[in-house]
Amino acid sequence: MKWKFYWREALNNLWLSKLRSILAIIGILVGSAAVVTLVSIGEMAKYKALSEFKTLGMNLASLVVNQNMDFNAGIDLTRTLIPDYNYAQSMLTLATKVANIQEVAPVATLSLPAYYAGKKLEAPIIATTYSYQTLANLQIQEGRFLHRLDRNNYFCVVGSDIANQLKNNGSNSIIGKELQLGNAYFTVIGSIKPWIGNAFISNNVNGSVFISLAAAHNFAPNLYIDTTLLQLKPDSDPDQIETDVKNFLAAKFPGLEVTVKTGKQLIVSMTHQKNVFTWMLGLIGGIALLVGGIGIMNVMLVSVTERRREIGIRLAIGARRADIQIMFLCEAIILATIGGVTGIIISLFITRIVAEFLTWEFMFSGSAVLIGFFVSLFTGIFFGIYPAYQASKLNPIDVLRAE
Amino acid sequence: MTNTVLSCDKVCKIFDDGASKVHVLNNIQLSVNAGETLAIVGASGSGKSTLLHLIGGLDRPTSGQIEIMGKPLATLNDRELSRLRNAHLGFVYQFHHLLPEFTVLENVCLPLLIRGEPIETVQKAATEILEQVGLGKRLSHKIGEISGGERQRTAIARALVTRPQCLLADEPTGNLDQHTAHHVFDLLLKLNRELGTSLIIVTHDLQLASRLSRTFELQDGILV
Repeated sequence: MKWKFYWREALNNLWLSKLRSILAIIGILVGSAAVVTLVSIGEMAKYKALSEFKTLGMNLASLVVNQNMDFNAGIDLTRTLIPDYNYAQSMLTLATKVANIQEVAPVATLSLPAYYAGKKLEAPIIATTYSYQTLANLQIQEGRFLHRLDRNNYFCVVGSDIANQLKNNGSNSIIGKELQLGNAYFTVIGSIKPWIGNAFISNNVNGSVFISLAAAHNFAPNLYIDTTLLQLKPDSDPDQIETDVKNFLAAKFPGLEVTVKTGKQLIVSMTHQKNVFTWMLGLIGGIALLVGGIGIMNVMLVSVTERRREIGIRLAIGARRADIQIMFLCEAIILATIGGVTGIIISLFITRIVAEFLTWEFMFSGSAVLIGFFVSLFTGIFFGIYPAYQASKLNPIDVLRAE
Repeated sequence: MTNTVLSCDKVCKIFDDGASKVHVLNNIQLSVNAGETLAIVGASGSGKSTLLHLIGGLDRPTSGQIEIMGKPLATLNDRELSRLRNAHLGFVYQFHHLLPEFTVLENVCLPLLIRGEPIETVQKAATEILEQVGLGKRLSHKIGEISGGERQRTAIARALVTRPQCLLADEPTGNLDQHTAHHVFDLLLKLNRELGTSLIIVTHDLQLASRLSRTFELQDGILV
């Protein structure tokens, strides 16, 4: 019964000083909207990054040969195996030798000058196998990608940026054009659609020229396999595969040390990274909320000073000090709740607009709403306690005398 | 059977500001029975209001004992004191001390609401007492919309709505013209008869004081 009275009184008092109440609410509203919006944006960014990666990279793994680098002596050739063409050939048998590996694509980057019609192209040359298309999920714009049967034919496929450069120099179709890579001439057999990227693959696909490993080996015998991309069967255990691959290589190349990175590991680290990002955004919002809380305290302290007489009368006619504290706390809670909820509603719109603008999938994080609401409420209570305490400490005699 | 509502036994109050001590009240002996009316007169600064605050439990004596309805105030904690004040005592001040943002009815409801009674009961009791003080038609007026006499009558209604055993009035007519002052005094005496509430009225006005059953004077902190 008494609680109904407290809330009614508090609402009544807030209504009587509308402007002050609205100012306090705006403080909390901005803070709560900031927290919820920023956390939601963080969550959307995380979801966007992860979902892209999950569709492209969940079943990927990469394998890199560790080099025992001594900065004084350079690479110790007596101790380290150079991942060359023979190594690449061994890697290609992985799909048949190790369970749950579907595709293998050794990748070597050649730093040879590339020319088209006598003009230099700024394009790294990527020597790999036809499997690269599946692994990197490349879409063909024109012609085709490398094929198993191309073997050591001097064919090349170009990324979208290179394709555009070739087009700028003349005709619409680039199929059949000749590129000079090093000392050899390659025929363009296809181009790739603009590639959006994949956290797993570091190659700049759009700006590269692709040739087959066998052809590369012919004119650049000392090629170096930077990395080997593996596609794992869905739902396979990446840890088991990592062990199997290492065992296979240990038997084949004793002393060889490799690092295997799997998509799952990367997702874990990406999730962690993005969570840190989200928390940081939340923290920034939290600072806004803190300012809002100080606003509430300010407004409540003014209210206590203005209502000294009322407090004195209430105490004189039998209100307990606790009643006075509760009355002011109720007011703070009401302000914080209205501010918090309004802030959440506003942040719903802002998040929606941001998602629309960035063409992200709209997501309104439930945890952000809960955090926003409870942090607002907590802020209201926390910053309402001191003014409420001040109010309850007033001496009714002093107040009633000072008419 | 005498029914003591309030008693003071050797009550002293000393204000000590560190540098000097002011003996405001000395050895006050006082006993008030149910339905009794008494006036406390004295010069300004003689300690009349202080005595009233002590009796009302708003302040504590330096020494001596005050009992209300047989309960020594010194033994009560803040919470019990508030409850006792709410249940057994009513206050009327020289300044009405009504809350201007509330209506007449709401102001009178306040003590019962603080007690936690249901709103219907509270409004009924408040309306009844307001009719008794002749403000039955002013219920929904804001304090700013009624006259000085009506404000003081509202304050009296607020003090009496809890049906206290004792009403403490600190110069209740001090701000009113003579005619209105007599009118308010008549009302207090009428309510004293109707409700049986004891009255302790602090006043400057000896003529008004003479209308009460007993009159005390505070001189140099002593009640004579």
